[in-house]
Amino acid sequence: MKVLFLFPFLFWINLTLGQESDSITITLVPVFNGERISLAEETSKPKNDTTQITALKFYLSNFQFIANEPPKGLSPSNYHLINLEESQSLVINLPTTKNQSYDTLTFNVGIDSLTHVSGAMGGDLDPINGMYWTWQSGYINFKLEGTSPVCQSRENEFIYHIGGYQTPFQTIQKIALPIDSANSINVEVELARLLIPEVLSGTNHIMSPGAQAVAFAKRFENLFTIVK
Amino acid sequence: MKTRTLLLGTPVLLFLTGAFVGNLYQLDYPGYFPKPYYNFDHNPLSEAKITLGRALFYDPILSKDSSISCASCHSPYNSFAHTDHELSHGIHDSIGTRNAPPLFNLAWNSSFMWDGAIPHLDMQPLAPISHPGEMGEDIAHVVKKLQRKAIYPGLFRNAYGDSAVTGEHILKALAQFQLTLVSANSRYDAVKRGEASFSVQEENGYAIFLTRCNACHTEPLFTNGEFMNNGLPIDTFLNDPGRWKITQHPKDSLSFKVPSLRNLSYTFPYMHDGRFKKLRQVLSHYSDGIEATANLAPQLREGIQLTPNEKTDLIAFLLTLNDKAFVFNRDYQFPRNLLLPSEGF
Repeated sequence: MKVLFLFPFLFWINLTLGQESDSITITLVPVFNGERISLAEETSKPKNDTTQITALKFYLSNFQFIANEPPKGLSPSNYHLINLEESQSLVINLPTTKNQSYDTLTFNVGIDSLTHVSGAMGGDLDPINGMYWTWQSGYINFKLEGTSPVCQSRENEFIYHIGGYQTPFQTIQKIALPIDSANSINVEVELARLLIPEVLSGTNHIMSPGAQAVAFAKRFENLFTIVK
Repeated sequence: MKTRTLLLGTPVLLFLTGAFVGNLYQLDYPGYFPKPYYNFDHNPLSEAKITLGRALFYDPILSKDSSISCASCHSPYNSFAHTDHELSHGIHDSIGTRNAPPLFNLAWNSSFMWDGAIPHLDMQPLAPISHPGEMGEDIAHVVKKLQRKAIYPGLFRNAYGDSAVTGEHILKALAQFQLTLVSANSRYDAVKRGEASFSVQEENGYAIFLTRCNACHTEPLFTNGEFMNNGLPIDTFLNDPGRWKITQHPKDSLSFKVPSLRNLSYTFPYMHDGRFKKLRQVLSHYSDGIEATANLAPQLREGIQLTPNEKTDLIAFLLTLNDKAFVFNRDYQFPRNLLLPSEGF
């Protein structure tokens, strides 16, 4: 029985030995108004004169590098949970084909609907990561929490948990960024493009799928920029 | 930057270990059942995984204060419902807002809960585990508690070749046990297989059923799996909008999942809020009590006309859907070899 199972294994070694690959490292740089952010300092009371970020967690998925040809599919577990609290999660290593140059990087902010209805998953998609709604099921695609003096809420707090995969309230957003052929790409995540006064002075708590979540998710389009 | 990818190695190794972890389990169901909806390729049944799932199902460790297990509201002796309780119960004597439904033939369900809030069986347990009025726990904390409890590292290793507890493996094992809960041994099933025949009264009831009930409670599962407004006046204390809460679409206002009619003797009280204790009350609702709203199920526009004699015959047929063999199946009951009786439910 054991011998039988070795065959696919040997065949696989054969396949991979002849094939070399490169990788591209993507580093996410969360900023607020151009200034690099880390989580709010451990102060007993948040400062009331500036916007503070207390949590930033989101899914990026389905990374693809595009040249003048159809995009190459990457590893099947192409889901990445980005968490400001865990700096290693801000660096994503993606395999690419050797000596191939690309002009566009595409990815999704959030988790696709097929994955949503495919049952329990492990790793970054394990519901123990606190990015899964249990009562009205589904992944939280994007989580941003903090305080801002603009917020009229208790303790000036804002909580944006953005998700929803069913029509008409899908929140997954596809992002396309122009890239040059470098092995390392820095992507700036400018939270000020989400936390505009119009948003902060409006609803400060979004925690379920619906029209408000969809409107918030539309702003992801301008969230990411390639920087040197 | 140059690396030799070992990416493909992981699935191959998983396949190798998977092949040696426990015996596979073949789900048994009758030929007149449709093809299961559940995708078993993503979660192939094995005896070791079912055993793990069964232990988890009966272990109150899933709740915050270790007082409530899945079986507390889904008792095997009641076809995995909470007989004689209108609304579900939880930790600290909490009372919920909906009737705990029975659990059987789940492999044929495409969504879960009365409002279909959950799209996959694997993910369903997260709702009661985390609900403050049910188990009041957090799946990440359940992982830690299971890792510390003596029986689990071994059960996880037997099932998955790895003693590490993960959320994914908890959920998949719970799904596996629940998938084995197939109810297909009622008198109706015996008749269907040519092993028995209906009495004259049951035969009359079956004829009434086919013309007036089967459109929604479609045999052989006795549900079409859809969401319908069946004309129940709203309970103004609970104010439950049903599926509307999920879709926010007016057509789903006061709509709830059409429940299966199997095992009715064990699953009273009836309806999403358990408002009817007797089958006769349910039939009276359909004959005389329907409240017409814009999105009332079209099948109920005229109500269901039933004479008292027809109701009696119909109930005689509905009772042939009781599946004693299912309710008393020892394979589904409390795993005495794994958990202490004091850990019961």
